[in-house]
Amino acid sequence: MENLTDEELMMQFLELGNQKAFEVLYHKYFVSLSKYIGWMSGSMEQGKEIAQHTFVKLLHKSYVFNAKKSFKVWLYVIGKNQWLNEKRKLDRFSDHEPSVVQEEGKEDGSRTFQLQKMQMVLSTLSALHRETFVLKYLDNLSIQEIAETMQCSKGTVKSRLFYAMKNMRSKMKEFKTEYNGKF
Amino acid sequence: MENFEDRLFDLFSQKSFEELTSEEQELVLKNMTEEEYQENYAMIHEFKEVDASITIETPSLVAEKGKTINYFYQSIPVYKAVAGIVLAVLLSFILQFYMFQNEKNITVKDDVSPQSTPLTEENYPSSLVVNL
Repeated sequence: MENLTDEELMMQFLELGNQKAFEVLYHKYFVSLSKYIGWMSGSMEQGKEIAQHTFVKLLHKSYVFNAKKSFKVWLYVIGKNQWLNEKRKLDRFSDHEPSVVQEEGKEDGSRTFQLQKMQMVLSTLSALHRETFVLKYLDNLSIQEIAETMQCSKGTVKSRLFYAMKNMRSKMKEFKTEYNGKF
Repeated sequence: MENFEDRLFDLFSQKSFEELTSEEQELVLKNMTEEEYQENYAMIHEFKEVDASITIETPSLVAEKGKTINYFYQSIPVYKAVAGIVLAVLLSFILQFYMFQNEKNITVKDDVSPQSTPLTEENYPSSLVVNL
């Protein structure tokens, strides 16, 4: 089972009803999808919730999967749309704008500090630049996969990455000056 | 060159400037300074470390499949709500119409004998009078 590609695993699930194949995909991508949504929304808890909904949707709509296309891209697109729908619903009822990644569990001072710094740096970017950076360096998607997920050209992805990192570098420098090396 | 651009974005997360081959260093320096490269490398690694320190437990898929949906807390699109109201109003009209139809008492006359008014000189229609 481990030797099969994501697309082959999905076809095993679709054509042979192999539940194990779906479970392999679920365990492979659940955390990375949760974190992707978590970094985008500012709440890892929300990221986890959206990832759960995404996999339930995948179970019910698996018949629309096209084996010629990348499973990973398909999954991230569904996850992103799921989050955008949720965000629209929340925005309708409140003007809540999450800015800092919230994480459950133990409080570790320096780690929380680091986490807040990263989230603050990311929050200075536009949504498109932030998403491109997260997909490339935290979810390890290739330039081609990012282009497919974000429905734009490879050149646009590279340009967004370049400007995202340029802005982040200057923001990191500002932090160092502002907090006098605290971060 | 285009391929190296793709590769450059991968190199940021893989190698520090000192770890690059001399050929890679040369190509990097055509796009940015050593300092900029090193800043990108350090920043990406810092992000990756923070990301890796975030722990998310994967819930059991079986429990997720068995999860029941509470339909009272589900939101529905506006068009569905409007369609539901229109359908309810139409149904109530149709029901009222049929109930009204059933309530109508149709009286059936058993003995219907043709009645005619005898024509007399007084009640003869004037339009039919022909003056010769």
